[in-house]
Amino acid sequence: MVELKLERLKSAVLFCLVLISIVLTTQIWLNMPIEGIFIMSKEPDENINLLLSSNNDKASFIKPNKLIINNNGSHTLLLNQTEVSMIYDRILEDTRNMVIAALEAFEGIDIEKHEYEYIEKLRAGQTIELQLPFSYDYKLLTDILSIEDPKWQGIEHIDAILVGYFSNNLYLVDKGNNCIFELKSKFLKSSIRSMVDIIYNSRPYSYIFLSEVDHERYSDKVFIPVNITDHSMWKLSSYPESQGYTPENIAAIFFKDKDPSTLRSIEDSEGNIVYTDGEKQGIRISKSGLIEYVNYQTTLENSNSKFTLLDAVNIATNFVNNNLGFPKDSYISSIEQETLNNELYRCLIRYNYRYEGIPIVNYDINMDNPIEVEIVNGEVKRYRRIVKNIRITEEEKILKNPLEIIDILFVRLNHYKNIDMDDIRIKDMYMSYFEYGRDIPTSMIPVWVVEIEGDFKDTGKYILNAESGVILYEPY
Amino acid sequence: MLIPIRSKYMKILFIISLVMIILMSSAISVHARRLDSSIPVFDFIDGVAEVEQPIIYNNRELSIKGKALEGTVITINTYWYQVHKVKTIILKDKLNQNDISDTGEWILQHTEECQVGLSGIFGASVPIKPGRNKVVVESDTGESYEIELEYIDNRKITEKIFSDMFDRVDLIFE
Repeated sequence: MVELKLERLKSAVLFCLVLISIVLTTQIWLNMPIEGIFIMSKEPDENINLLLSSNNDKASFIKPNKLIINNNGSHTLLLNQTEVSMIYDRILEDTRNMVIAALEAFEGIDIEKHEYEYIEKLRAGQTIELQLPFSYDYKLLTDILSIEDPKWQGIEHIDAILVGYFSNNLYLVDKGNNCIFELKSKFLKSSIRSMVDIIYNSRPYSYIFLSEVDHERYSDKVFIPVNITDHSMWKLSSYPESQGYTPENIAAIFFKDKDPSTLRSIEDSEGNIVYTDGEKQGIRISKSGLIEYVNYQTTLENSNSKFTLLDAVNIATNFVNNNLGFPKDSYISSIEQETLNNELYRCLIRYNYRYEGIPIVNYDINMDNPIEVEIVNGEVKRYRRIVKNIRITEEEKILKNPLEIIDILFVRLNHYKNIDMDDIRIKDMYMSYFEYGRDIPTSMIPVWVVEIEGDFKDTGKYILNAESGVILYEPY
Repeated sequence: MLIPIRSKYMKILFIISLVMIILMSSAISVHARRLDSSIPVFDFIDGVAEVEQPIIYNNRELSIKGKALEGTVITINTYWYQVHKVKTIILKDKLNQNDISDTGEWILQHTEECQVGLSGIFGASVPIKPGRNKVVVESDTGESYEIELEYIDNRKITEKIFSDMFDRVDLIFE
């Protein structure tokens, strides 16, 4: 009897030893904290099927334009699609935590400054690369991440963040100052390597940086897939979010503290409706879905109230949260600021959103950042939004090779507009959904947006049908 | 022939082996992941940079990119080196590097052709197999570049060690 108990005890001890060896070995393999090994799936989000959400933290609006995985010379683009959204979010969260840990730490962090060219080495290695939509002011980024008293004050702007998923080194790219800051510490940990393993097991599309082949004609943002002949995308259909409400409902959202019967409304000949309280503010609901809010009382001249960029982001984010909310996968796409006597007095914050990781281009190309908030003297002066509710259709679009798309565009510029090939430079190129036509519901088709720069007048965004290569929009 | 594990010493031996395999495969994994690679740009205008070969690589897909004049037709061929089976470990150890290359043959795996447009760029993604691979990129003007690379798939190595050691073991504890 005693022998039997002893045998069971031995078996239990052996089992524990094997288990510990597996856990520790996994930790060595993946170089991640023990809790990272047990990647629990998130609680299902109750609002998963809702397009709009009104509970967003400002830090969640720091998202990359492109999330690139560099793996020993091969590259892929990770889109925030439903089936990989958990992995995408986890990579963003881990990167954010690493940035906070590295910039808050007072000791145990080594920092090294490299020239910008070092990025080629990082791309040839094992890194994830978060290309931010604009150059973030260092103080603003640290403020949004709630980093109190960031230690490294030599950094001015951050254009991209890279993480070595093997080394767990963090790289902050300041392109304007032509430098990359490398932050190293044994305390920096992440589970990004295991996320990358999962992605690579699913055989993602291979991408190439065209600047690696010809850096004179292509900027280092031009990142395209190769061999996508078998790839297709669904055509979408959309209708304005305003169709989900009555005009009175929308007015009630904006004039929460007013009795609806005291509001004045006017409908013009084109069917646009204007509501005003007659003293301070008004809204205009267009038939196209554009909703505009104006605060008449805020003037540019009255510059008594002092506010910071962080205040502006907080004010704008709270205002959108309280007035129709953010679409799913929204992020800050640009911040413009104006100062007077070294004091911030006007700020324009733009937000963009994506459908299955692909950004949306509205029919009105000037509103391709579909949410804009203008802050003047610490108050919301103007708010514009044109957000669409999107549905998938049953029509598939087979995509053309992006190199063929570039050829079509070069033929247009060189053969038809007589622009010398040596003068043309591609600044950026990315996939989008473009609203095509004015019918409601509106079709949304996959397109390539190509940004051209150079010393000629036809520079700017060109939009080409991703299936046929037909140019749907060009600057004029 | 299956070998049932009956004695308690065999059980202990089995568990120790299991732990050792995990540790060995982790070392292999770490080694494989530390390898750097540099796949050159196949530049048919300015020439291709010299790289040390074989290039050690650890991805199943290989991106080929290059530059050529408009209208050039580029053909990309990939080959995999099939090693003829060697009977024993002792015999394999006695062979030197030249002998090894004589015990196999290059087998064509993949062919792809494209015409370079105004962009002046061509690109393709080709699958490669564990072991030695050769990529030959040639233009219709007769120029040709070739690189050799060795794809180390650490997962396959781990699987191979496991299968070689435990394929004949009947994992039923009695």
